[in-house]
Amino acid sequence: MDDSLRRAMQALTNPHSVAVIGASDDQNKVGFGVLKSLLEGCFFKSYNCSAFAGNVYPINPHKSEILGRKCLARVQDVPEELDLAVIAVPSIVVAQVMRDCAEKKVKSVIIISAGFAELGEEGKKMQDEIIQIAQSAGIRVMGPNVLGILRPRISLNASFALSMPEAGSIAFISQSGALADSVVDWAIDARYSFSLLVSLGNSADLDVSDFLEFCLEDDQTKAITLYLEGIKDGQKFLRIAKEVTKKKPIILLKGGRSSKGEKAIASHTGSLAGSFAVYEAAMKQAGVFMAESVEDLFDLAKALSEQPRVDGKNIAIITNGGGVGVLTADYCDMHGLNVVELEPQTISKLDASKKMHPAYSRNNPLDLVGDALPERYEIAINTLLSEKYIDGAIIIQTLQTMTKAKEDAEVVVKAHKLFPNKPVVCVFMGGRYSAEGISVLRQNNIPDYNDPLKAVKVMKVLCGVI
Amino acid sequence: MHIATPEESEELMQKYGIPYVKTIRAKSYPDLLKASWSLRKPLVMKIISKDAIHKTEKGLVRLNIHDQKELREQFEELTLLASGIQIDEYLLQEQKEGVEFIVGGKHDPSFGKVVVFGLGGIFVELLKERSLRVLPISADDIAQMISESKASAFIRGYRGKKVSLEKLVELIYKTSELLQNEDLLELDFNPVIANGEEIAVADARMVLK
Repeated sequence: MDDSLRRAMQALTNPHSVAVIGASDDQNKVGFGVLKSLLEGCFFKSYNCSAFAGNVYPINPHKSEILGRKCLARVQDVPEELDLAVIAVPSIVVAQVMRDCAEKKVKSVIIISAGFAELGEEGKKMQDEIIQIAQSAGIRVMGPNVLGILRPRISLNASFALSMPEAGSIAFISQSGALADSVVDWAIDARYSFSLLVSLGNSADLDVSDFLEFCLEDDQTKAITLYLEGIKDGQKFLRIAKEVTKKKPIILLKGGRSSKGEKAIASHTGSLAGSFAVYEAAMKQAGVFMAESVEDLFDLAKALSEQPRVDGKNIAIITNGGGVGVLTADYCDMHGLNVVELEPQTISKLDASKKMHPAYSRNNPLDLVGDALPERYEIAINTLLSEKYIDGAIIIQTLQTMTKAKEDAEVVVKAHKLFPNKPVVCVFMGGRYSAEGISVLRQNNIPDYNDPLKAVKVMKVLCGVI
Repeated sequence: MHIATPEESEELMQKYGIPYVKTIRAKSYPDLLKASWSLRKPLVMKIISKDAIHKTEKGLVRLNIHDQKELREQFEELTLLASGIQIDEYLLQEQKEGVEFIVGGKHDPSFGKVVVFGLGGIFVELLKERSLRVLPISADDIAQMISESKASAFIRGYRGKKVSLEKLVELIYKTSELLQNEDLLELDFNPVIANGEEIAVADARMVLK
């Protein structure tokens, strides 16, 4: 990342002073939502809302006060250096506002306003003109046509998103603002937590690769999620993504898979290498994981930010129910994970404990039999995870009358602390009577799913299988 | 944009050291006959026409020509069959036995130049058995790419057919150099026929900018 980009990203993601140009007291206007979000942390209150600590300046020449703050007529009137200007005025006046920002030497700008390149040639011309003004003043621009930026850790909500998700270690970079907005809403209940949320809009200046570079250096971010429909500069993306994935995982959900409208010129290759096939190949080369759904995207990211990654794919399946074990083994096979055969010495250790059921499976999947109590789980999990040839474990609990979900979960948590370098993923199948166990797993950052397929997909990325 | 003539294709393959099956082109039967003397039998005869991309579907490819009589018969049949389209020229090739692959390339609007490898022949689009990479790539990448395709079974040997990994990697590498350095929109080498240490492009199709 070059210095000018680093400075701009710093101003954008950790500003001390923010102006909202086009601040409004009309509750139906974006300029109201953005100002309120900045002042209070959220538009709609959630458990995670608190006021942003920096200085916020509403800019509106026709108002004297909005939301209890004195309005300034122009951005030039801000009495200090300005890190970030958020522009939410009609598209036809954005150019003038950008000239003001250039005069004020604003360090970074977000253009929320829509009505540019996404509308066609005329809009593209206006957009080019604005970027031209910004560039000659050395200002980096996010947008236009964006939702904005959210940085939960510092309560920065320079957006019209409806609330603020919990602070965490997942960055979400989305080409769709509306999708990002819905993810915010969803995340609040699903407890997905974020280091950064941005929507890319038209990416007239700052693009997905620039944000990837930022995420690579950002201490808060451990995993990066992307929603993209198209990439303008694929070669730049490849180059940067390759660097990023050496240190931090990237997971991509790609919109626009169908090949409608694609036309091969006159060759077989044209039909073999449709644009989605090229995407898949490019992502494989860059070490980027592909998600299949929005839920998949965040499940994978959450696991990647919480669990260790290993270079190996020998998985142990430990279960108290045969059927779910079989399903899990099938899914492992489909997804390139190896349900490794247990070595005789491992079986001897299990036998020597004298705690195994006489009919336990003595192989992988390791079926502990339905009446397994926490002690049996503990011996099995610890014995298997201590083996060098086993890279990670999927631990399944089906619910029987004697099953102790909470204690079983505590056994898993303890084992994970003993073997912190081996990924552990759980399938505590059930609902009401497993809830106590599931909540223990959740609090201790152990991924848990009701469906073994999800657990296997997560284990697959933890093992680096692309 | 235009489709490369057989001469242009041949020239490019030569420039990058890409081996192709010995081929002779002619416009008349006497010329074909004369050309056939220098080729090892059996032979393949094809019609080149800008009106027909898929030669096999239209019956414009004839195999197993062993002697002058068969050459004459096939020439007449092909000419009759192609009476509705413009015949640019006739093409005569040594017939190669082996595994058929496709090696191709195209320009993707987002990622740029791409190379494709897979099982070749007439079922290419039905099977869609291929792996691809965005250029540039190394020889290691190519070996990895081959191993991802089901076609890699022939490297290990399948039903008595075996091909050299090294030769295949070399051909794909040279193709990637051609793609990198020349202004092509699309390229098909289909089939590339491989047998043991032998490998050669039997049919090339290039779309130039």
